Amino acid sequence: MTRTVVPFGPQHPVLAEPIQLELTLEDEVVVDAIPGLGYVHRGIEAEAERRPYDEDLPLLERVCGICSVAHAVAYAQAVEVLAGVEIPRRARLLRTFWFELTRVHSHLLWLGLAGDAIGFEALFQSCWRVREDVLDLFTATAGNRVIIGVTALGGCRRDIPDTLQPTIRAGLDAVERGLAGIAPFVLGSEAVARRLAGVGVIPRNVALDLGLVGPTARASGVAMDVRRSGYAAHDELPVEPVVETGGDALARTVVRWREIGESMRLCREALDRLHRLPGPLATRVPPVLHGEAISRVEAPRGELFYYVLADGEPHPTRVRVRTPTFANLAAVLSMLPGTQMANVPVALLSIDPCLSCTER
Amino acid sequence: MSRLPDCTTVSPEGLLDAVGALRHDDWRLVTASCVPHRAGWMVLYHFERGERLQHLRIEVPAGGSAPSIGAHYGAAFLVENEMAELQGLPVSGLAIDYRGRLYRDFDGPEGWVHGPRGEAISALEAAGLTRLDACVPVVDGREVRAGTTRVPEPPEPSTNGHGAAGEAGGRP
Amino acid sequence: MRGPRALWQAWVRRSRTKSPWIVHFDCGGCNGCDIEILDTLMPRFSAERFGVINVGDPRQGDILLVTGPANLRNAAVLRSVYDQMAEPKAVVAVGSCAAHGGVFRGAPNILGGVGELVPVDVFVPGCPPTPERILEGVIAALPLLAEPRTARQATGGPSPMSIVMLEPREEEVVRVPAS
Repeated sequence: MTRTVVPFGPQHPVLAEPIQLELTLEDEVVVDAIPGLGYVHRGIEAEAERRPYDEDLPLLERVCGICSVAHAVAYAQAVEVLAGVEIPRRARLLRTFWFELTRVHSHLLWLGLAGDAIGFEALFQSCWRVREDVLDLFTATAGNRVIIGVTALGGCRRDIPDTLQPTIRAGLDAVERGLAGIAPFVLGSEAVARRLAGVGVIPRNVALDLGLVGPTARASGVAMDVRRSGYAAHDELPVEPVVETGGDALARTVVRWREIGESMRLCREALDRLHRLPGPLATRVPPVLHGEAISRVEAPRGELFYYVLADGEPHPTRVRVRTPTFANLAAVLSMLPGTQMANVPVALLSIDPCLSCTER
Repeated sequence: MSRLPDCTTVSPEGLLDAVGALRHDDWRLVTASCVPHRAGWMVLYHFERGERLQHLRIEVPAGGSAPSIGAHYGAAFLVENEMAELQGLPVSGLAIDYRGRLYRDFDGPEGWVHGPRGEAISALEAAGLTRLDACVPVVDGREVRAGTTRVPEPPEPSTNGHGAAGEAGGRP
Repeated sequence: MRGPRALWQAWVRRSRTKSPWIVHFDCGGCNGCDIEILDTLMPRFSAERFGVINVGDPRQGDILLVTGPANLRNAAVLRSVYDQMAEPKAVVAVGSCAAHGGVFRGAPNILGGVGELVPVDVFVPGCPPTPERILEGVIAALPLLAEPRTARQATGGPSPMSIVMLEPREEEVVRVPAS
């Protein structure tokens, strides 16, 4: 039997980012897949060790342009543990609002890219049209479309005044109307169901073995969600994990779709609680810190983990970032063997890989 | 001063047993964090089960190495390759070994822009700038390179003159 | 007096500047600019109405949109993508990172700006730039497509190093720590 090692990438149309996969094929069937990384590696961890704590925040927000709020919140939480400060309730609610809005825009972005990968151009365009309404909300509340920079050490940098609330609610309504409009394309569409069912299957025990996180794990029946640990405002806004048991690309699509609805609900509840809530936006964090701390948040792609070691210097001694795709990349190795070469782009995309996160 | 709760310090030799016990109890490996520390390294392994966290800490002196925990957690190969490359900690027994070339192709001066920029460009030009196969991972002792390899087939029992044995014999 | 040959050449020059096909390459950025480039092609901004199509094959592309601060491993890939594109071609560096490294300037493994590797014609500032600004950058690169880079030099047209720098707006300025 002839085995061919085919390089997939680094520049491949299905992903905006460069990744290489060394696929070992037997005829059309993949028998082995080895990821080749490093095309987006910037050395952010090392650079963060050279900058002061507050200047690290804009740097770490740019680990990933899609889930930048998740990185900012995770890093800020770790620094707040080091400083031993409690952030105000208003800041916790604001963080949850922007965080969940990020999840909506990230999942819509992924759903559009998935539509593109399966050749469903109308789904691609419709999802990104609805996503524009979410970005309008970011523009209205934070002034930028993608990297919004609202998090500060010890709280939030920006506020949502009560006078802005009607605008935001109208925006959320617009997003929900858009979502209702594309719902028949997603869950009711036979084209989506037939193309995604049975692609890139990860059974529950494999997901547990590999330590998968986020929607990829939840689609395999693992009920894990870091929001249950109650960070930000999730102690007062509890979340039930959205779990599916199919373990294939279709199940991952359904999980993300249902999470969009869940996040919209959380945004509205956070807004309700912010209404007429007095209080400061941030607590002061000292510039020099000691000790070590970890922090975890549920980024759109799964658990995001930060470890910060401080040694009494004005800058951290070590910032370790474990991003969700770093954990989920192992899933690619387990699900690609046995798939057809033509299904590789869809299977790879179904874990929602974010390489600028992975390589930092 | 904050310290990690539920953190146990073990020796590098005892690491595999401690990790195996956690694996047996269904703890999930979150990741490992490696910190250069007193001319050696300090490595933290983070585990999670049911929203509870637990950490194992080892200290590796200069010249030492950390054992790979890939036997217990197959997904650990990425983080171990990363520690080997970015912090320089030797990890023994890696199943997939990128040989210090997971992320970078060139070991230049630390921080190219702070350092002489011409050096970065000349390193790129010396490498031919078009080299795309810089990263050749080693899996179970064999390099994975793009191209076609023929896997030797078991010899056919038939006495037909067109046997494939001669064709397959060329490669080990 | 314009002979048929001159008319034909004028027609070719004019046609080359219409419907630019875009090759997008991420040279180590954070995804922010990349999704804004995709957004430019989406219904709201709809660059496709001008005939702008995002293609995966560098050989079909006219304009190379580069994002990111030029990572050292990616440098070889960027050069290879650029070399594969047929003349006439133009390079638009999208975002602060592609211009000078942006917030990552000084990070290990970062070269600091794609101008070191490929001749950039238009710099679009912003972190990330809005889709309108990216479209503006693409339009600024259109006149450069009339002639191949070598011919531009010979005929005294826009020189290969004529750099169009879009003026940053107030809200697009990102403070870079001094190196």
